[in-house]
Amino acid sequence: MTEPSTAVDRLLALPDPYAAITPADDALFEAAMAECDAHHLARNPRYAQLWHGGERPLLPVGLFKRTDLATPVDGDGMWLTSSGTSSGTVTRVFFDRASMARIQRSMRQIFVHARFVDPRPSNFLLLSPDPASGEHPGYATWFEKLTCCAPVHERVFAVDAAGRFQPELALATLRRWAEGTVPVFLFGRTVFFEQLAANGGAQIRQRASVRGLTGGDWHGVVKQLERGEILKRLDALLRPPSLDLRDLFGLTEHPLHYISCTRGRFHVPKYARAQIVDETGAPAAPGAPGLIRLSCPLFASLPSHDLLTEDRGTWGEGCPCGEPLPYIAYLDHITAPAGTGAPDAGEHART
Amino acid sequence: MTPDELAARLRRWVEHEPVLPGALDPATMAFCRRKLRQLAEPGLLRRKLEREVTGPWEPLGRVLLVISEHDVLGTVAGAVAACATGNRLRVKARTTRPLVEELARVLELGPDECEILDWDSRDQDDRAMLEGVDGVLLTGGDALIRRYRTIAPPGVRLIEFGPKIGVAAIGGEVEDYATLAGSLASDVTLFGQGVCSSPQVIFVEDEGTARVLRRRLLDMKLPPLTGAARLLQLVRLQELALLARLGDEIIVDVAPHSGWGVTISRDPAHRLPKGFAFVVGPLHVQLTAFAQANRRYLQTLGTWGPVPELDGFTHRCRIGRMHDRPPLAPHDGVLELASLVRLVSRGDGE
Repeated sequence: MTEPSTAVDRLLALPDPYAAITPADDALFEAAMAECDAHHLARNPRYAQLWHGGERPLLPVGLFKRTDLATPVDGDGMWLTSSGTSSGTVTRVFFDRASMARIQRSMRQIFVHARFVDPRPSNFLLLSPDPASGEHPGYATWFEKLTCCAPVHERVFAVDAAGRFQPELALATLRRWAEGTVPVFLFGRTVFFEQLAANGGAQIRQRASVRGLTGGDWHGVVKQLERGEILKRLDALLRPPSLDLRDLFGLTEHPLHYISCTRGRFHVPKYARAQIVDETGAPAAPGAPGLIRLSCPLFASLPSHDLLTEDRGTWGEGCPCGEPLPYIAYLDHITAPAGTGAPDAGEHART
Repeated sequence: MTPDELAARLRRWVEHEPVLPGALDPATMAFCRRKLRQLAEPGLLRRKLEREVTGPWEPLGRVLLVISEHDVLGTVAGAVAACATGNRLRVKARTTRPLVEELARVLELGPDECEILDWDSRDQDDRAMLEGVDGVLLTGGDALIRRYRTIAPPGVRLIEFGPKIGVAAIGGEVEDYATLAGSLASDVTLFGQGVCSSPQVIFVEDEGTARVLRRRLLDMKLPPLTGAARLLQLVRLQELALLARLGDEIIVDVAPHSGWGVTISRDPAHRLPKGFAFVVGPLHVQLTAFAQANRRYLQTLGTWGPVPELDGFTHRCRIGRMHDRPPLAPHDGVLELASLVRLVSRGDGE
């Protein structure tokens, strides 16, 4: 086997991506980021314009919605669309084949670590639309792609092409699967999990284990149930031998999606770094809420390797789940407050 | 209860400087109390009713109030308007529930005259909510209005106060920068720039004027923004600063102590979520383009110096008074009390 030739490849080849980070890991990560800088600087003059005094710019996710900053890449690939929660507009992101291969490789490790890989044929109920049914936000493709964590026995999309959740279809599918012993995976938007949990009705006892991944926040819909309550109600509805419901955090503009630990927090593997920044842009103290900043050198087609998200979180160390890496606790997605203009107006008060 | 009796009851309450719910900064709290005192002035409600409604009329019946949860003034004004026109109330409230209960107590409204329902949109029983309702007074976002248009039975009158936008415009030479900066600061920061009359954009003919005002506003002591609002400022600040590096004409700053932003650009989209967004260019051209792009959303136009007349705005006033619509003036182009009654006509000889 040949030695990986680039720092990015060496980063991906690290044997235990969830082990405590060493100074050598940090040096390798910085080298991979520098490689990524060089790649984009050489091919993307607009991105190069953003550099100031030799310093890598921290790019806010909304910037990709305001202007085209894609880096030209050779070969084919696929387009994904962001969900449009920032600035009310969407970003179309091109995933080139090389970036996609790196992403799949690292996502596989993330799934293995979370024990969300199963060699047995499994049933997948997707609380998201079929990406083939039309133009959908990137999460539709993401959830569909995540079904590669197990051989597909059956796959059902319980959200229609117009983005409407079909609770009756979801419940009927779960009823149909209840008698079998095929493992069940539920993937989809948190808000639809909430609706499923709230809509439950009579118990649909599952004989097989159920694992679930929620993602995508509430996206402007008023949150009705806390996560713990959703879990409790789903457990009461399905009564499976085991229920493992985790959260998924990611953005179309960032190459990786992260699976929460058993305590609902996110541990970022060595392929990336996460930081919480305060209102001045400085690193926040442990436990203090701030914006989640994500760094990751895997994207060749978008210079988003140092990304300021519009998601709020806190960070800390010593997670009770036992992971040695620091954790990020996701809080919410920040949105423009009321009154910031009619087109994006939410609740306006009057005088 | 006559309008004068209603005002007297309201006056007894507002004279004791009631604590209003919500995180209001001191200036906004003082402003709200002043507006409530104004609403309770002897004779004002009667004059407003006489002015808006002429000829025979009767109340609609029962009016459902669905008002933005953070809108304290709107909640009180809506309830008072519905009562002044002899209607019985049903109020959908959650965080404003203590306020509505207090209001029902001071206005001496019995349980049938003022029903209070819990605010829970997801599990709402629309039929029960609208049972026996003759009109719905709505203030809120487009989604709220769309929803009630769908669920309200035919014949129920919808009185809609949807999302609106305020704009300021500065024409000609400015002589008194101190007063103008203070007036802008008041209009922008009251209610945290979150109400329809808040200026979201400030059009100005001359960039030099904008620069002088920018300096003054950045040095001014303003009510501090907190929490998520400041984080969102940071994200947008970074966006605009980077767009400037790409060649867009933008000057962007955030006052370090308060978090309020100041931008100078040639595009109304280049603004921070909370701040003074100066847009430089020929006033008539800029205002006309903005008014066309936001035709259904225009509300208050605040002016300083010579500013062209424009269609579409429902209130025009001096900068510094943008939230201070006179109590007898229409609201969003509508006579509010008239919208809460049913006019009755009679044929000749009847």
